Amino acid sequence: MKAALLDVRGVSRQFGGLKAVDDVSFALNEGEIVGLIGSNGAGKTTLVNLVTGHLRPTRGEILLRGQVITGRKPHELASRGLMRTFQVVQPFNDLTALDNVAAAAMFAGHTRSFSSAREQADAALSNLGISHCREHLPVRMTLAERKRLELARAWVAKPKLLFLDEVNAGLNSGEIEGVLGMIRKIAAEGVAIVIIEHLMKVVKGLCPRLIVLHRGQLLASGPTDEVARNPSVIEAYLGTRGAAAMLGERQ
Amino acid sequence: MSSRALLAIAIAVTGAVACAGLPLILAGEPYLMRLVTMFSLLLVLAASWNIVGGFTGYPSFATGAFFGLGAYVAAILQAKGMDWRLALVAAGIAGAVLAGPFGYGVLRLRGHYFAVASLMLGTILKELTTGWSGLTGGGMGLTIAGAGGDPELLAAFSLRISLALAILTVLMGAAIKWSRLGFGLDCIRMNETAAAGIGVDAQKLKTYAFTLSSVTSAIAGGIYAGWIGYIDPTDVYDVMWSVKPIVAVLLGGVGTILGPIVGAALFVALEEIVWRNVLSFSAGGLGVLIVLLLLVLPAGVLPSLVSRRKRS
Repeated sequence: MKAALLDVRGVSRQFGGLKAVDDVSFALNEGEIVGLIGSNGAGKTTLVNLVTGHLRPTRGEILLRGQVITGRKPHELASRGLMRTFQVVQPFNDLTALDNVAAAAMFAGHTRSFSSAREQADAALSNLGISHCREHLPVRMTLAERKRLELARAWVAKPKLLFLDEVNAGLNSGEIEGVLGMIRKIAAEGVAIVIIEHLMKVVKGLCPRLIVLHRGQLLASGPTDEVARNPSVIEAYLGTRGAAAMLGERQ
Repeated sequence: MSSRALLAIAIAVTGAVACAGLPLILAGEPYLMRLVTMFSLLLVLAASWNIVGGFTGYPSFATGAFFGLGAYVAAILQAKGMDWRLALVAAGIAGAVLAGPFGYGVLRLRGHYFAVASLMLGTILKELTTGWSGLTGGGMGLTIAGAGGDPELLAAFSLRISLALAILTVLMGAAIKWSRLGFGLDCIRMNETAAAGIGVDAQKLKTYAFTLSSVTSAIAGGIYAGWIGYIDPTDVYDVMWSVKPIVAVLLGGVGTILGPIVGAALFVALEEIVWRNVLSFSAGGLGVLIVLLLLVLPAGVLPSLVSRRKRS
């Protein structure tokens, strides 16, 4: 059998007495779109940090296409096709939007020349609908535009696997629709995407499969409909009384 | 031709003309020659510091350590009969050999922590140099007989090589700033986490920048030793060799190509004015002047002028 694109095996991360991520295992296939959901503090971002090398797991193993990548540095993983966006946008503030993206093309995308990096960046900006911001500094862009800038930066590196950490946070519903459209576009190119969200409704239409974290542990994993109907997931989201009310309503 | 190529050529040509002409024009003016040589050495250190402190955003206080190391390596080797050119090359290599591993280690630290760690290097080298008196002469210092002992020849010669090195250092800074390495350093300075996220090997690039800047600083030390003719640990490992270049770059314009040139010139000029007028309070006077200048022009003289022109 072909090795999974990403294989996370029994990964844990402890901060002092707190187990932020506790013995989590899951696998991803090439080109798959998966939603990683859970309430605030469930360990979603910590898990992403562990996989993308920003944190080192206290236990467990992570494999990318069958090769162990546990404890590898973020820059190395990025240049091997494992990219992420940050929950709080992290632009290079003194670089224009174009150069922000060109930097990613150059370093993660292995482009040697400036002109070719800028060409690719230009294409990425227009693909993500922010060509008009080409020469703008990030401070002059709206939050929605900056989120798209992050997407452009990740996309231009031609990743195999992309983690989007709350890419919709702080956006209004119209802007969210726009960004979701972009994500579909990127996914259509065969990039596997993990969408980290705490809003179930955002990922429902986009992800055939969901992974649910609760207090650092894997609560559920499977087809979206099934997971959404899972009583323990509903309980984790709404609390016992809310879940009872919702389940009662359905019946 | 691009404006960058024009700027580089302008720097190179002006520098070459100055290298050839200044020693002739200033012959018989030992005071002015000394001043230009001092300016050139400060410019080497300022342009070197700018690569780490300006481009990369890591405020290094290790410039003086490499300056002192270079001075001692070149002096000891010349005392043992090595040709001065080879001795200067050896000083540069010594700088790189120390800077590589040291930089790789301390460049993990950020901000104040990095500054303090880099500051310690000079102190350690000073102690080692003082203690290893069999090789270095210890606190007694070392004497170097440069240019066969002819002071005029030595002055002209020192001016030439220090100015040449200064021009080369400025050009090296430009080459770095406009290269892939410089682009990576830019990203590191602005947001190191995001830089790592887009595949920038920050540790490697920072170490390259630090090592390159240490090579030129060490060669400057070697030139200084030959020029002054006598070095001791308290002189060449003086913390001022680390502080002056920083002040010069702050005055001129941090992270710019021409900032170190303007800043070093301004610094040397201010230092001379203060020395002449308030000798008894020279260091204090200089400090007050610098603080005033930085308050009025916080980004440095060059960027402030440029932004003022843009606004009007």
